[in-house]
Amino acid sequence: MQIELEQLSQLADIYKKLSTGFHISEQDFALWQELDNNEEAYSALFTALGNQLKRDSRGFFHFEVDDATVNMGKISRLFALTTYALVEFFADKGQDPLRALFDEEISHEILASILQQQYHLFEQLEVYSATDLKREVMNRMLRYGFAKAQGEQFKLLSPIYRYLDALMAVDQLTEETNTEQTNTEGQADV
Amino acid sequence: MLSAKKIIKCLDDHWPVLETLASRSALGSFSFQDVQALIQRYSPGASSEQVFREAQRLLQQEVLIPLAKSSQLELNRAVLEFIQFLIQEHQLGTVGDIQSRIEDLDRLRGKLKAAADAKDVSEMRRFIRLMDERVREVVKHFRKNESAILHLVEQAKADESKLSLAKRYSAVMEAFDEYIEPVLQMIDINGPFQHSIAALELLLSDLIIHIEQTGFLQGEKEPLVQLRTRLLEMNQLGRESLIRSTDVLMPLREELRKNTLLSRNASALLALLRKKGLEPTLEQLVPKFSSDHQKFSLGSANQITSYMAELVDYQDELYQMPQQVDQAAHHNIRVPELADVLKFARTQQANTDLSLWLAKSYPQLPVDEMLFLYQELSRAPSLKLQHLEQLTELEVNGYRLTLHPFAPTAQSGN
Repeated sequence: MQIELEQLSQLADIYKKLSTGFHISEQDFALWQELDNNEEAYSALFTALGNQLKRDSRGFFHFEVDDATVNMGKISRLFALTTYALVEFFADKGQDPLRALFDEEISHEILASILQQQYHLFEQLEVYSATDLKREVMNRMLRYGFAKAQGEQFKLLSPIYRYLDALMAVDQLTEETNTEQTNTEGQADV
Repeated sequence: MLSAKKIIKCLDDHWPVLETLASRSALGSFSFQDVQALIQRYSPGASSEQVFREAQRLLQQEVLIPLAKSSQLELNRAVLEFIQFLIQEHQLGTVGDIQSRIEDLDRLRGKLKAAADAKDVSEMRRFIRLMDERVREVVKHFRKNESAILHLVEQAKADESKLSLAKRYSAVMEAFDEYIEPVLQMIDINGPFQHSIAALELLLSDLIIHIEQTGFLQGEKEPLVQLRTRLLEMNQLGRESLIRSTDVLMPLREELRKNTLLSRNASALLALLRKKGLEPTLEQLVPKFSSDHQKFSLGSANQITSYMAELVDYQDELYQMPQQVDQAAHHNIRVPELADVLKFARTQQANTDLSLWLAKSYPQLPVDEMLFLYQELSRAPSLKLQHLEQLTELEVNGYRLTLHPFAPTAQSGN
């Protein structure tokens, strides 16, 4: 396929963002529209450069990687834990967690609450206070395109779905063990 | 008879089996065949004879105990409690557990006072030790019950069955009504718990002050201080634990909680993380993303592997050295030795001024070398020189020097 480099006007910008692990969502309007319009060309070009451009139907682009570096693994674990703690937090308050996750602004008070609720888990990732949580997690979420700043507060963006998808996989995990158990019980009866 | 070492070995050998049995303990007894099936499942390679032997071993060690008048088995109570302690799946205790300890503390307080009045040291020690034990037990119960409530809540939240809310949360409601409420009443500021603790603290403080003032029974002061600290800590810990328990129970009791697939999964996962630790579970789950910068910095083993892999395809590039640019031939300047110059100057009996003579004799010499020689010669005692009044100007290698020259004195000239 012929790629007209001149037509890919935002190439440098887009490549720089994606290759640093950034997720381009509809929020970054100019870049997203550029990718949306020339998806095929960008995708072919990035594949040739050794990166897999992935488009998610819920409105974001990112590079797919097989092996994450150790450091990023820790960051990703922090993101996951924070996201799940937020789901738990909103559900306990009687809100629909999915809607609240994207509608609510994440304030310092909310961060303090989830930290208190899941302290023993955050502690294992060396996060000990709401300030730590803001610095270690929320500010990094900004840097990777998972959230945007709204004054002093944060709002989560669609790439968070990557973590919610992972959460859905848990269901399969537990179901597997359940069926396994019933299987063995069946055997035992025999 | 339980043999400690053998039990621990058994736990180590059959941990997955015993863990599964412990988690099923609420469901009732199990058969010998169940145990065999479980062993087979966790060690698929074992022959049926081996499996039978291992199951038999568990029975012999009394890890498993047959029920009365039945072929069904259950886990030894002590082993079960130990396993539950290890996997943090405690069963909720009763208020009575804590209440009875507090009553015991009250009783012991009276005895301690009597012993202190009678100045009976050995009795005092015994009572202090007993009270210490009771306080520790109360703390243990608070901790255990908090963990049990967490477990209940997690189960209720992650429950998949389509039960009515009332049924789903029945265990939770029970926990609230039968544990939280009574304990709250007990530790209320006017409740019996506070009275006992306040009275005990007063007694301990009095004893400590008494010891400090009289110096009598000095050896008993330390354990008393320890006991008082632990007592206050217990009070604090009980309150905090209760607040946390109430916090997690409240959303369920008030039927506030929104139960969706997502929230159910989040609860299940967080419970899993709490019990098994973060690393193994999250490792497989979290989405991966990375940056180029990190891909190319050698931090971990797989980065080094991929770096090595890239080395296989390495091809060196030919590099064209730049053309040599012709330069003017470099003058090979030989800097004369100071001793030689000195000798030369003496034999020449240079009559003119020193700077001029140097400039004439060594026209090729750079200026700094020239000045060095000039300075050294002017100081040399063998040349009898004097400073002249008038200035001399001379040009050396393009530099113009102006100086008061040295010239031989009249005597040396002669």
